[in-house]
Amino acid sequence: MPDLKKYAPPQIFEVPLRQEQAVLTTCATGGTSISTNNAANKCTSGGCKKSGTTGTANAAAAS
Amino acid sequence: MNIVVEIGGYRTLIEEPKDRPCFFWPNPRFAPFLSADAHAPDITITIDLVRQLSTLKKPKTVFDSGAGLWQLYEDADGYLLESCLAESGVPLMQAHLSQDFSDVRVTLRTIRPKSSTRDGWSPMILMNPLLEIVLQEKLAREGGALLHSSGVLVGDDALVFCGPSGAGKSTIAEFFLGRGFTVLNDERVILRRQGGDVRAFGTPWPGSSGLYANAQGHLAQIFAIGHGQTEHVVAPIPTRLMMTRLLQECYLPHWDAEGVTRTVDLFARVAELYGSLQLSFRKSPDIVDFLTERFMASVG
Repeated sequence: MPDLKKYAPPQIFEVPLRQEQAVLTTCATGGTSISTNNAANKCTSGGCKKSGTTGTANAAAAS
Repeated sequence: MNIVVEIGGYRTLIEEPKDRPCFFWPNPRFAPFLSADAHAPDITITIDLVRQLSTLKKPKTVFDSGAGLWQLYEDADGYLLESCLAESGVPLMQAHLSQDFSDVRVTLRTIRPKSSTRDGWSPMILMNPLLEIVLQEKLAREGGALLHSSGVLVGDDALVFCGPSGAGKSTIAEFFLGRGFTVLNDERVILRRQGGDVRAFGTPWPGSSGLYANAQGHLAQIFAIGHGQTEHVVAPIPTRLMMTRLLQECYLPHWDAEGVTRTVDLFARVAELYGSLQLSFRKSPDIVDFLTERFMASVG
């Protein structure tokens, strides 16, 4: 008979969440939202941390 | 136009049947995640283009992101999602999602860039937050999570560093990149249970260093991280604290109790498999040697 795990009673603990970390808003660097007012590649959301910058693939890694 | 992207092992087919002009695409960030294989997608997104979005009949709100960015509503046979411009509240996109988030029907307002004489659309509007929300739900239901963390590959093994903004996720990713290792992402990494294994996947949603790759590896170790003072230290922490840190840094499907429960199960399993370790490191490139010597079986 396989070893059974020792019984541990259920525990309840609170996990405080911070909205910035817990809810998807926009990417951290912007550049993924397109404005409908014809602006190109411009982040239009207030959730961006670095509006207007763009990411860089570590191309060597993508192979 | 049809587009296929594969992120976290999920194949998403985006169909726009009217074949209208597609702007701001391909985007360099998503290019590594494009696929030519549209067979048996896990997620299908069908686009309907309109000049003006109508006002949604909103049944019951099940989640509001806050800041006016997106809201999820319960519908008779699934969900409705609307995302808006934060400043004005103008709707950008409305979507109907099936119960399991596999079938998504999107209504998009057409756009016309200054460089064009024709109306069209941009896939970028779908990539954030819609596609991330869909993946978030499917991952939670299917033994995975989208985690606020950075991840690096050493051979086929992944190290994942989980922490809030400012904890050092990008810093540590840059040190590994400097040594020629692959950075899965410096901000958002996907974890998935696959068989008895846990795997880490890169995503196209990077952070302050803008590092990302379409790559994956066996999870070798996960850390809760923070900046240290004088030396690098790895110390065990109570499982309960590790679980708290993981849950705080995970994008949970707050509207779905079953999804949240399964995510808790995933993290409990991760803590069981990998222990609960906190890494405090000083800002020095020798953190790469420190970690690879201790946690990687073979360094490529």
